[in-house]
Amino acid sequence: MKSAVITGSTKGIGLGLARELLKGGCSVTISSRSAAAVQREVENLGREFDAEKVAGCPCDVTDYSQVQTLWGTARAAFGRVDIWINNAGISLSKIMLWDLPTDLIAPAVDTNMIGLMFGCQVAARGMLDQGSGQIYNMEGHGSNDMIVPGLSTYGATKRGVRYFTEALAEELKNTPVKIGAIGPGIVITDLVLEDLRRMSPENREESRVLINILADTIDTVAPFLAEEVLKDPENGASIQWMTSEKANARFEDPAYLERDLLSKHGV
Amino acid sequence: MKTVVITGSSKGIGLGLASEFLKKGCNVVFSSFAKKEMEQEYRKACSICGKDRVAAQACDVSSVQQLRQLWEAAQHAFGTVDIWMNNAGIANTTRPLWEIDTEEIPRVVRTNLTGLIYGTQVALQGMIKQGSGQIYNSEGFGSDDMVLNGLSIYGATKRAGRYFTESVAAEIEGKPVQIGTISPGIVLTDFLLDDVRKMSPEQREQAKTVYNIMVDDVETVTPWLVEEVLKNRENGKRIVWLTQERVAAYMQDEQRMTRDIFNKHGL
Repeated sequence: MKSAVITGSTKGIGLGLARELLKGGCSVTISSRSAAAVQREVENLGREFDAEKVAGCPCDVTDYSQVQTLWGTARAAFGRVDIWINNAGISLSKIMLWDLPTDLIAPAVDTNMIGLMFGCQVAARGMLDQGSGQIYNMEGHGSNDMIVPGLSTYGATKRGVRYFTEALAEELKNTPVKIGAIGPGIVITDLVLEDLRRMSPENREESRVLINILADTIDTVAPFLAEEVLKDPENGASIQWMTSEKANARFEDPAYLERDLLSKHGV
Repeated sequence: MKTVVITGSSKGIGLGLASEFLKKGCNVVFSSFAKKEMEQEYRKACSICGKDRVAAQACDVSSVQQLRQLWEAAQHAFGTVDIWMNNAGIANTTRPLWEIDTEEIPRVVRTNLTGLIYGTQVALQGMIKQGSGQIYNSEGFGSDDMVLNGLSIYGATKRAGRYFTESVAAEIEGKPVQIGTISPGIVLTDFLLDDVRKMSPEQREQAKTVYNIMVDDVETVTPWLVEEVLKNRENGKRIVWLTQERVAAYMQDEQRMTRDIFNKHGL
């Protein structure tokens, strides 16, 4: 069975993917910057699934040597790395550029672009050496060129990720290594809820409507994404939870028009 | 007369832009992280235009502190900053990601993207306070989504930079400040020659074929760019030299189809 590594996987979509890949029979190496969180989730996952198939390694993706160590740890635990998902990322709240605290900029670019590129370099080198492998880069707001005022910096990193993934697919064309993109759509996360709470009443109402129609929970999205990854798609694949057809269909579907995902979060 | 700040203006396109703005009677603030080269160009400009219209301030754009100092130096010299051009940029060695020196990744991303975001924020905050101003961010290979084996990192920063500028344009809609991009096309500079020099033989042959047809001199492109910048009043404008029409025209130009501009550069 396949061995997967997921960066930023002690919570959110990363953890969701870890669980789904474990359900799918994979061995999984989870990771995040917090050694305590990694240990806790390795224990939790080990209890829920086969502990022999779970490994963990703290890793700050902005440090290349730590990314190498993550690769090495996974390889030592499971013999090889078949799937590497660059999921670790920093989200920024919706704040106009001129009000954005400057010290939030470098961490976002460092993690979302440099860290992702480090992950791709380590995985590509390791997988070319191995003779096979799949790399996935996590997309997000901005990847499809959509613009939301207040999300310029974050969106720019995610637009960069989409381009970078396409460029790497071109570079990996005649090799046995594949790369693709994963787009999770709009997922209800703490940050999304926080942003909603901070908005003005009018903006909040508008956003509530959109999110109730278009957003989903991790429990809904992760199984789909994992399933698609395990189908081992072609180089340059783009695994998208939300497509424009799906979105359009929801806007006509009473079930979604009347859905309420947010009240239980007090929004 | 207008005051223009140009990052990365000690050589190449940045220097070309600076010269053209000076010819049009503007005040120009030279800037570069290559202090000696910058001072050389500053002195040359002073001898042509006199000291009253020229200033120089060294700046590494990956440092927001230095960008703030650049803004302050410009304001100190000329009062108002009318045009700010985030032109400084570097390329990665044109090789597949896994063959690139890891250190190139943070260097290129922090200059081309983080530096661009910082420069935009600094200029925007200053211009909002001033009540006027225009910012222009430089596009480059990748901005239009083209991919090329060997330019994944550079291209990603340029695609992200273009998205970023479009998003900020949406954020500032209605404010007395405008932002846009300039796309200088394929220009014969040290930047380009260095790039070609470091390519593999096959890549170099391919590149030379395209460049011989498409390349322009700094002296051809920069006067047009400067003219367009000086007449632009639109927010979100893209000032593009190498349009589809021009490409089509170049491909019918016998001189371009048969020339060899690289010979005299030893390539």
